[in-house]
Amino acid sequence: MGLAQWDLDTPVIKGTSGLIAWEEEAFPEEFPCISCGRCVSHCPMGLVPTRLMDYSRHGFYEDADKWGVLDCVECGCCQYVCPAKIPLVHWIRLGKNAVTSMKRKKKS
Amino acid sequence: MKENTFILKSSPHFRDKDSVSKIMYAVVISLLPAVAASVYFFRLKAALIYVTCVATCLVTEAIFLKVRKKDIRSLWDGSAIITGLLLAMTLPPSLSLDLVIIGSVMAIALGKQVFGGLGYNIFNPALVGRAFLQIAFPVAMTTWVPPETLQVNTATFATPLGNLKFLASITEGSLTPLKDLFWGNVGGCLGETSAIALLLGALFLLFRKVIDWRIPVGIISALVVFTGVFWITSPEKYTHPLFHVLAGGLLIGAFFMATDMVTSPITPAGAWIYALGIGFLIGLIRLFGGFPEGVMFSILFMNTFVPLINRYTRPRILGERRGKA
Repeated sequence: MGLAQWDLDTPVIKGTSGLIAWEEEAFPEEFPCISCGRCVSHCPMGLVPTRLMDYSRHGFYEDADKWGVLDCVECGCCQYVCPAKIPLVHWIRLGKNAVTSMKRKKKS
Repeated sequence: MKENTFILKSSPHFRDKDSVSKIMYAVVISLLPAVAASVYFFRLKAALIYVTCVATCLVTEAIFLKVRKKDIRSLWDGSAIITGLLLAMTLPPSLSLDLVIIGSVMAIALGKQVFGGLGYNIFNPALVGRAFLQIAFPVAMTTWVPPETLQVNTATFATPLGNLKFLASITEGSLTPLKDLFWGNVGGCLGETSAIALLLGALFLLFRKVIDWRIPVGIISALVVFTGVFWITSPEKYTHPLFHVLAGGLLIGAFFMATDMVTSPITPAGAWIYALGIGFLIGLIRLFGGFPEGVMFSILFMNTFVPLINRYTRPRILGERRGKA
């Protein structure tokens, strides 16, 4: 949770309750999805994270919307359990963004 | 002056320690009891087939990774070793080693790498290799030898299921005893004979939560129900379900082949459909089909449906109204 910061000039404001930094963030080697289904069984919202990730990654935003990408609460359980070390939440966030702007565009 | 010295990464920042290679090597470990049992029953020939299979699979995988310009390190993620071991376990002990090599190359090339490597294959690679051999060399693939530990003086020898299918073993009372099926003192493919060794490995996998319990439970119960119905209605024609569970490749298929993560459904409901389908097809082929054994074709057949099953068994999203898609 929280927002990743990329700049030291970001001000600390009243609502900032904490700042977490790691000395060295190792990026685990990413494997292709082996469809173990762990993300599916761990998702508290009953989503299929690996599918949402795949749709978002390849730009199939309408399919991602159909499979409920906007219902994701970004808890990160899927990414924690993923044995293939896929940044699922990262891609799902991207998909959510794209779907919301797509819907906004349709409305206007 | 600004320097971008931060590595930007979105949450969550903690990861479970489990990884793809750990899962793969857990499967390799779980297969070891059955490998040991088959080496005990079939001696040197079994060991030779295992070594040839695993070595050929690794070499084929390495060549493909090189050609496809992939990271050569993923050769050691363990998946090629599993394919080799599983393929060897489904081969008859009398198979000549050149056929073993052809089967292994086909398993990796046709079964896995043409689809894009680990994670993208539709069919279980080991079973693709076996299906290729079964269709291309049917005689060699159905020539069985008795285990070294069994004293028989016959030139021809059949597997327990072959006995059941082609000889009138029920009326003659020459059905293979359950005790031999359980310990593995019967003819058959290398790894499928010893039920106890397979169950040991399967218990480890279930405990380690590598395989989905729904798949073996679904397959076995569907087969028991299917064969049980025929056994109850005409016991003089059909044998009891326990024989079907212990004989042939059912246990290795249910616990090690059908549960292959890549080629099995990801949703719980999908796993049930997939498993019940396999069990039903195995029963159908064994009782009424032309082959004495149907595990391989049943699993391959249901593998083709996995993408479809995944698509139509979307779990209910929290708060979504029932019945509304």
